[in-house]
Amino acid sequence: MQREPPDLDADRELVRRLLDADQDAFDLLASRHLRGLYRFAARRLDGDPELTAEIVQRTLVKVFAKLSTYRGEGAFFGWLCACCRNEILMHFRRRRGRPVALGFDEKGVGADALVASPSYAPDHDLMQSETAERVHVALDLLPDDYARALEWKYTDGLSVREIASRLDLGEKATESLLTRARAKFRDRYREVRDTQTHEAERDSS
Amino acid sequence: MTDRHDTPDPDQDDVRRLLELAGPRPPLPEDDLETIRREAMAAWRSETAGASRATRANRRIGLVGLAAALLIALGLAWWLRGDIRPSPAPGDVALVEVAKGIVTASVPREPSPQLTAGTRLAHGTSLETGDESGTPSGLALRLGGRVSLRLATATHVTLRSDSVVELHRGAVYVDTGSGRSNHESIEIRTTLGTATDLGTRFLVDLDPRGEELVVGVREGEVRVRHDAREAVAMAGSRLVVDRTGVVRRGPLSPSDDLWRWAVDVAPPFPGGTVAELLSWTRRETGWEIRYATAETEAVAARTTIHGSVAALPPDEAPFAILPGAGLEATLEEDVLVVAPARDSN
Repeated sequence: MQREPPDLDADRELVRRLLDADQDAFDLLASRHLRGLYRFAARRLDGDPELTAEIVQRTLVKVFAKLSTYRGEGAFFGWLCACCRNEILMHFRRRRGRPVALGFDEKGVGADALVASPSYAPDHDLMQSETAERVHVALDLLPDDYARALEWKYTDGLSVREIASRLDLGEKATESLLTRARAKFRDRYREVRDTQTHEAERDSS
Repeated sequence: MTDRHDTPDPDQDDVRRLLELAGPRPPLPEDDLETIRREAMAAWRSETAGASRATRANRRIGLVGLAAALLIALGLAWWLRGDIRPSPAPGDVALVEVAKGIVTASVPREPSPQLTAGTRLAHGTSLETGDESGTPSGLALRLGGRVSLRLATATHVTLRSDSVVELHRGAVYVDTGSGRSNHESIEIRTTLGTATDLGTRFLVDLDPRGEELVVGVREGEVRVRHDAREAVAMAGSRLVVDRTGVVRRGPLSPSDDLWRWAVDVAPPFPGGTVAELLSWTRRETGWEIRYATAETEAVAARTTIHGSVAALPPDEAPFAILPGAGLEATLEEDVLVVAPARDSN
């Protein structure tokens, strides 16, 4: 797999424009990162929609309050996830003392378990679940047509001709789009994987 | 489903394996995402406005002398034309516009004023609506000559200034006027948090036991502070804060029944064209106004209403008034459709 550095210049530019109150920059942030951030949080909150919405909202309020501290040394999405993780941990700490149903199932493990049991040894199901989360979040971070094209091809098994028809493009243009989509997907997948790696390192320290 | 484009390609294998392993993405709740997006935008605007507001404030200080002279001159001109709403006198913070049912006022070390339309209220005035009899009651005030503040029944507030109101129990509705302006923000203070407007129409409801605070936003944005934390609620949403500071959010339609009591104490339509009446109806009811044709909209804009419509509430006025202008109104869900009257076609 060809390695390409994450697009930090684009992230720094986005933050600069957000600080300049550029509405287009906000719209770009929302379209690019909101779904991935939501999915990141939802998995750690057992998919509770109300709680997830609250945590994501709090995360974004905090992010905007300290936007000027983003240095652009790592991907912006990773920075968002780090803030979100803090909000989740604060939430569970406030709940400490109340019974929490800690479970291990196909959806994954709650944040309390990660914090309380740093020596927890993941098994195959958890690894598969984590991989699925990375893939799904990475797809959320892609432009819509890239994500859909990849899913049509590799999840639904459609041919390039069929995808071209859905996208209303020629077949060559569709091939070209798929090539760009794969490259972008690899970048985003690495970003998400690195974010989770940092998470695990913090939990074990 | 394969074709000549799908020959094995090592460059695709990594992506193929990952997506096959992961399977389809679970769908996300689009309504929640939209609410989060809107509220995040409010928070972002609030943060980025702070940096530029400091610059504008410095410029304003230099111009305040000139601006004050102009405002006084304009105010006098408007008053003579009869277009401006009367403002409280210096020392007063509010003017009563509507008083219904059981409404009482008290001022420390002063005789209690009678509350009727036109009564002026000083800072420190305590207001209560309703009593044990359960008589439906309400008050509509004009704070500082600009902001509409309405009190629901069973409500107790203290007017600290023309921009700070303490809500002890019950519910208040605030309308700071359409669009953003440079007015000083209105603060509604409660034991569970302080709601500050960012150019808006909103209500604040503190339950009698002080267990829960509800802030509903009809237009604009409201910032709610509880201890050191704050949340911003945008139009079309409600925010609920409990004693422990836990915040819950949910959607709130501009025409939800929660706004009903505020319509009941709405100040009467001050007069104008049919279009202005419909605009007033929209603000008060939360209905969307839709004109069937451009000509219909033009007729509404150029037709002036003669005579008083003060007795008509906002959700009845269009149905009573429009036929006189050759128009008719039909309510479809929360949309008021205005069209030529059928017998005029």
